[in-house]
Amino acid sequence: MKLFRHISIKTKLLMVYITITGLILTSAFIIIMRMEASTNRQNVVSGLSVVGEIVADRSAASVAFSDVESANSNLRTLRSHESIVYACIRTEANESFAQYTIDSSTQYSCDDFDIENTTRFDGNYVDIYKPILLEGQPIGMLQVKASLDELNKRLLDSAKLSFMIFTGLMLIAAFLSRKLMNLVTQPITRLKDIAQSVTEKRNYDLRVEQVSSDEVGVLVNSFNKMLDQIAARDRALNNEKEKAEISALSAKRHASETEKMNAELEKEISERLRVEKELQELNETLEEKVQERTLELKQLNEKIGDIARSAGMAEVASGVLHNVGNVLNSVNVSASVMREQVRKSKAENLGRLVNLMQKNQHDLADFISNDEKGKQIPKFIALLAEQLTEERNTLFRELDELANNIDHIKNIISMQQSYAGSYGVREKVKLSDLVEDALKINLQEVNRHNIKVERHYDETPLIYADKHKLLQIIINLISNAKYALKEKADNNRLLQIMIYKNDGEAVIEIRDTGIGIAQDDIQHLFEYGFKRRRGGHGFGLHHSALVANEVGGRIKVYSEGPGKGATFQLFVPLDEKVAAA
Amino acid sequence: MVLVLAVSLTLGAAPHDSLADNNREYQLKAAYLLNFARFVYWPEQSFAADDSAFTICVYGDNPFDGALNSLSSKQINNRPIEIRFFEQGQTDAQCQIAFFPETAQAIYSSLKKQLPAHVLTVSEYDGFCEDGGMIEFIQVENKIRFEINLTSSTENGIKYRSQLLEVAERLR
Repeated sequence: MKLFRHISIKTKLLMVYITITGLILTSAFIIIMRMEASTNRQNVVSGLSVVGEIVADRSAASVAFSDVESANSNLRTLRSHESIVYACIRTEANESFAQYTIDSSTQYSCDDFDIENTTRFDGNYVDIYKPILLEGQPIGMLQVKASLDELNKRLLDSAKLSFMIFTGLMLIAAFLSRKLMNLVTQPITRLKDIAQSVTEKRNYDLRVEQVSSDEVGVLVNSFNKMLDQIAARDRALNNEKEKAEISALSAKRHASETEKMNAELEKEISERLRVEKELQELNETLEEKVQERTLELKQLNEKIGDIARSAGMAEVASGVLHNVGNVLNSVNVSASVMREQVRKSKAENLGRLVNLMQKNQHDLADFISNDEKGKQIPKFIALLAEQLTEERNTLFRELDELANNIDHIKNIISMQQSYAGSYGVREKVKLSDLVEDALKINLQEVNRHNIKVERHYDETPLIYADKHKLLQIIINLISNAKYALKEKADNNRLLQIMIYKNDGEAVIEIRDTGIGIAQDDIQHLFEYGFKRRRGGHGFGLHHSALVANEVGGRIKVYSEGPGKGATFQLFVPLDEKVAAA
Repeated sequence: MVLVLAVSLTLGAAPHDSLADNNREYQLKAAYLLNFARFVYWPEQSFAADDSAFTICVYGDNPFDGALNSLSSKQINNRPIEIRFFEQGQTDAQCQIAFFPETAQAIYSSLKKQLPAHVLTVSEYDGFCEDGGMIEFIQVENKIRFEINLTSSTENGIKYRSQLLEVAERLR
């Protein structure tokens, strides 16, 4: 099939047509010739058969009366048939009775007696056997041998004629195919030519004329459309090329500019090197200055530490004073109540009674029993006694309250004293005690604002720490939580305080359900001067963080946002060494 | 068939002794009689009845010496063959073939006028056909041939098939 690759469609189609026509005609030729041969043979055989039958019939008497001459003369009548080359008669006893040969130079043999009425083809000859019958009984056999040359010659002639006719038909078919094929191939050829010239000349404006709407028509149409697209793309490509050329030019220009700039840069670099050298020199002097400044800063830091410390103490003190103030308020109220009680006391009535009784001193008995006023005295005394008893009870109650409050004040003050003296001293501390003390200081406020306190204290070992510093932090955290809860609108005010161990550290966690902290604020929470509430001084948490750092701990804060509460965690190292650092 | 076979077998053999010769001659003649019958168109009126036998009548002395016996097993026109022998000429016999041996010339002469039609007369004496006979055996080159008198045959209503006429040595 490789051979056909380079052959044009037209030729291929022609070849297909010719092959098919040739096949059909050849098949027809073969079939017809076979039929012709068979028919001719049959004709020959039936002709010979008739002749044979006649001769056989006529030979019956010859055989019956053993008349060889008559038999021979009978056989000689076969001369009129040119194809018959030999004939013979055999008797029933299988004896050769009579013979006939057209050409004595050729020897033929008479076949054995056989009563079968048959025909045998043997190469170029056909043998016909006819029984010689007398009253239905075979008395001999006639064999007629005919040459098939004549038949074959006729067949050959007819084959020649047929072949000529078929060849003529083939030629006509080929001619017609060639003519008709143009209908199919011409549009394709035209398409091919245009495609070729498009490829060679790169002329994308050529178009193929569409003459039909068959597959080729569709192909032509698609080809034209394709050319349209290619033309459009070609134009776009040319545009791009021009642009590219322009940009190449500008790139060249840029390159020269860059070169110029490079030179400038080099200059600059050398300049910069010089400056760097100067800078290095400057640096050396700067280091000295930095050292000076660092020293200054250290000193300043220490000063700030002092300020913070005193601020922390102030926090404690303010807490203490606040509580003391509150308690004092109660004391004041109790005192007022008692003063009012005393001012309104019925004890004066007792004086009036004494006066009345002194006036009637002489006949007191008569006065009490007969005088109208005197009669009222016992009743009056009884009433007075009752009133005085009540007054005394009230005063007792108020005095108890007063004593309690004073006791509370005493407690607060004594507690404050217990911390006051310990600043900077490390001692064994129980964290839960510290927390409880801090709560105690804030207790009044906590109660007033209806804050519920929950405590979860795990067992933690005693730690070695500056308990005053820790207390400051805890008071600050609790105080913050208290404020966050106070600001809250609803009454679900819960303060949870937890102490637990975590990875070598003790954690004091103070969690509130207060107003929460915005995410932005959390970042600035520990910065100096950051205030979240009115009246705050802005360094409570800052100081707490510093203090936590001083005791080797740290503070962490979490909040899910405004209104979602906040959690502060104070981490204190359990390890003595760390705590001591 | 057996007869023909026998005839054929003996055809090539040269005759040596007269007895054998005589025997062979009559065997052939017997076969020929049968064959004559087969080459003759026999009309229905030749026979007395549909089932009548085909009768061969032999007049005078019987020269066949049993050669005719074999014929009795044959048939002609689907009729059995009957052989009848007559010492004297008898005209009332229903014969299809009347054979007159050499010695029966006188019988034929006395009988020939009275023979009914459709009787095929065969003889072996010389001049039989001249005498008004139909088929006469003749000897040609040591072969037995025969002569046919078509005129007398036609006169007596005997028609031969053409093959027989072709084979005949002479026609009169």
